[in-house]
Amino acid sequence: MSECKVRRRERDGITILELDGLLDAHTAPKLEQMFQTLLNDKKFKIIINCKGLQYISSAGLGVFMAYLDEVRNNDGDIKFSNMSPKIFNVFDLLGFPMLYEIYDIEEDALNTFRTNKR
Amino acid sequence: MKHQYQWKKCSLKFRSNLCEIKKVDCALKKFSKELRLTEDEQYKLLVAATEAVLNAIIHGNKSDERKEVGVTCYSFKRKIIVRVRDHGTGFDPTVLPDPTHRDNILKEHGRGVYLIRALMDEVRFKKLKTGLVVELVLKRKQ
Repeated sequence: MSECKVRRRERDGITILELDGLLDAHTAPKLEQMFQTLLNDKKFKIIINCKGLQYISSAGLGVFMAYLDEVRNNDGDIKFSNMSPKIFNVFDLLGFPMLYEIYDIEEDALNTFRTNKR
Repeated sequence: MKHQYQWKKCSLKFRSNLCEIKKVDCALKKFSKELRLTEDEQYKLLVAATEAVLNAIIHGNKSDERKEVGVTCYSFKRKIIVRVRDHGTGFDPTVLPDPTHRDNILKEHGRGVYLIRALMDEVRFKKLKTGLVVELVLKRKQ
C-alpha cells in the first residue's frame, strides 16, 4: 500500500514531476533519487504536480526542503500544482506557502516559469 | 441496549524498520473504516499516527530492528486514542523549536511533532522505564 509513483516529463524545458500515492519516510528516497537525477541533468525549473498525491508526511516534505537551496542557487525553483485540500493543509500547517509557490493547475505554474525570471 | 462507553480496539507490533509503516497505514485505514470515520478524521489520524510511528522508529528505537514499536488504537463514543510505544529514552517535548518560525523553517527537525499537535485535539508524552508512549487523542465531531 505504501507506494509512490514519480513520473517525469518535460514541457518547454521545464520539468514536471507527477506524484501518485503516498509520500512518506519509506517512499521519500525514491523522490530524492529523482531530484538527484534532475540536478545532475541541470534541470532546475521543476513543477511538482500533486494531483495523484494522497498523503504526505514530514519526511516527504523534507525532500523538497533538501533541494530548494541548490535549485534556487541555479536560477530555478520548485513550484507546486494540483494540490488537494488535505495535502495543502499539511503544507499550510508547516508554513510552506511562505516558501513555495503553489498553483491550482499545472498550466499556471508553467506560465510563471515562462514569464518569470525563475 | 447500547452501552454509552462502547469501544473498539486494535493493536499491532512491528520491528523498527521504515518498511513497516505500511502496516500502520493498512491497520489504521481498516480501523477507520470500521468506525466510519469521516475522510477528514481518517486523514488527521493517519498523518498524526504515522508521524508518531516514524519518530518511534527513528528517534526512539534508533532504527534498531531488534526493538519493537507498538501501536494501539482505542475508539470510544466521542474520541479515538492512539498510543505509540517505543523503547527509547524519550525527549523533552517542551523544548522543540517551532518549525514554522522563520529561523527554523529550513531545519529538518521538529516538523513531525508539530504536525501531530496541530492535527490532534490532545497529545501526551509519557516517559516509562521501558520507553516512551505518545498518546494521540482525536475528538469525534458527531
